[in-house]
Amino acid sequence: MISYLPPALIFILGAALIPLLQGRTRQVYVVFLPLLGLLNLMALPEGATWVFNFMNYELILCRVDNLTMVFAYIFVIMTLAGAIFALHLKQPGELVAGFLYAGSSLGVVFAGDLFSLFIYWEVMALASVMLIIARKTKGASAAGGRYIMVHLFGGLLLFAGIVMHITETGSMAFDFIGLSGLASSLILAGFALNAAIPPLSAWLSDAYPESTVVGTVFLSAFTTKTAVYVLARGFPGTELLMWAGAIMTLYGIVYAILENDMRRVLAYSIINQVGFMITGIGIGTALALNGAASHAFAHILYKALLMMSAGAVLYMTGKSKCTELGGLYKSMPITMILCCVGAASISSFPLTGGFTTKSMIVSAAGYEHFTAIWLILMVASAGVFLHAGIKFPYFVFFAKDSGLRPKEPPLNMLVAMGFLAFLCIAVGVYPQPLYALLPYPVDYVAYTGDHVVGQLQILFFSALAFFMLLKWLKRTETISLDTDWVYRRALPALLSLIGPPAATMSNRVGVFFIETIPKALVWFGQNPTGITKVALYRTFIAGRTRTSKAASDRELALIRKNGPSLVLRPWSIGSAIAFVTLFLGLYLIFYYLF
Amino acid sequence: MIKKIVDYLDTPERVRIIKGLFLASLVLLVVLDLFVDKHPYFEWAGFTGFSALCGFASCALIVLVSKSLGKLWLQKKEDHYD
Repeated sequence: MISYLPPALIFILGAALIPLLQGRTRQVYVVFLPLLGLLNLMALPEGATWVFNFMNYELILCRVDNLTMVFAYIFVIMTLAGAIFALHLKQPGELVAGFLYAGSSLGVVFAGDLFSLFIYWEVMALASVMLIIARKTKGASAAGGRYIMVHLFGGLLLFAGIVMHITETGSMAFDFIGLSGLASSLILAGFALNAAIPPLSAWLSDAYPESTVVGTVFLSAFTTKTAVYVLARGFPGTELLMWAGAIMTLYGIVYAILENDMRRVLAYSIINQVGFMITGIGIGTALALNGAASHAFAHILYKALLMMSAGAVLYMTGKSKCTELGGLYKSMPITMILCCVGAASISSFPLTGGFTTKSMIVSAAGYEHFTAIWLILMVASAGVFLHAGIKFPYFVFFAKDSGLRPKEPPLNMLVAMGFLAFLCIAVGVYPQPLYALLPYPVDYVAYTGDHVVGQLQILFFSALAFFMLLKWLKRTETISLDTDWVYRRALPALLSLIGPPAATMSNRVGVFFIETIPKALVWFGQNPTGITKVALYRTFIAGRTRTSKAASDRELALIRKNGPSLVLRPWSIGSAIAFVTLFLGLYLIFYYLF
Repeated sequence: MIKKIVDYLDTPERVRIIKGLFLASLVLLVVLDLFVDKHPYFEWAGFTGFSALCGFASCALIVLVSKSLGKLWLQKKEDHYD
């Protein structure tokens, strides 16, 4: 008997049953499913299992090695938290999409070959867009449309890269790829798009905040982190990624500072946080890769927690703009405290998950003496606190009193948030179980006096800067241009510019081929020999003498008036023979050439 | 319980005390820096209060750069794409 399944199957097949269940049964079922997934993970053996042969290639649905399990565990834990957070939903749609999305993400993580990876990759895109359009607003469907187009484009790049890679190497296995040549560049670009590396990042901040209260929580966890996983496996130590990641950390901060919508602030902070992971992958040492993987783990915990608290506020108030919120601590103190745990964790406060994981990446940059990278990461560490650690909770729960007095959210939301807050602190206080899951043996000690005091200095003095510069950080009712401008403005503008002339041109070409030419042929067919003769006559003879010109003009006028069939002229034997000879000659040339 | 704590702290006087504690902790952290065993990755980053300076300066820089970019270029009215 098989004692375990490919983890993806449990969620994907399990999702199919959700719509059949009602009320309490469904609630029990969606909590039971991730627990089953967790038990299944514990039973998985090392190595490649569930291997199928497919056209001389091997499909591997369950590959377990040192990089797999840390992502697998956090994905299943996240699904559990997300399912609890969604228990209040009356409709099954978002839960089905959520489980399908989580399942296909697990599929990517356990895929040992590029083909099944690609299939799961595309299922992820489809399931996630369902979570976006589930909001059922005009903005959400528009953003969902843009989102799926961008991801289909990314999937296309990935597919082209995979096909070329398989042809070049003759193997479908998904292992270290490394950046060399076109095939690997295309694969890297496809991965980078899902990792939201600028300029391929605008889909994230555009679409995530448009999703539902529950949808955004799921979205924040899976797409970017599966991309981190595939990059860590395929492209560790790629210098380009180190720089791309460093730029991402700053890019996310700049936009998060400018943004007004609280969930968009958090979306930009995903780009910032994934930047740390990408930098770690680019550095590529054991410490850096451990840092990237563990930071992905911790990041999912606190980002989901922050998205949940933002979602709870949105659910209770119907508002998501910082300018319309404020002062909610009075009536939502529990949400506020749980949110602050997430905020502390994303800021890497000692005793939270961010501290025990992110510091590995920063230390790795330091050990390798990448001065610029290290400095950027230090600046970004301060910036994280500024935009996500203080700004988000401050403007939502404190700042001015908006007059709103919403109640605490439903109990299931608080339980889900409490669960994640507990894990954030657990990973911060006792990181050893997480360290044991990491790709390489960990001999890193996060809690040295040096680290703790240094980090606290960064955070407290950032807080000082925040309150001193508060006047500058006041929210404005604006949106910020991002690279989605290219396909929301520039491309449509370009199309409307070249559209009308191109349409006219295409119309003319169409008319020429389907009207002008057939008409001419029909006209010619009415009296082919007569017309040819008149044409030859006008070309070679008419005009030589005045009379011939006049006669030809008369003839032409006659043809124009009455059509060519009426201009019947007697044919001389000589001209008939000349024609036959001409066509025979043409035929000979044709025959000779082809 | 959380509600009680929040309500308890929610007076101007107690908020002032929290502010005072915050400012005191800034001083304390820099003083603590003198006593910890430091292993800086770069020699120039080893002086006392480097992290404090780094945190403050980074934030000032980030706010300055973000706001300028926003004002001059990136920030548009909310109906920009409509």
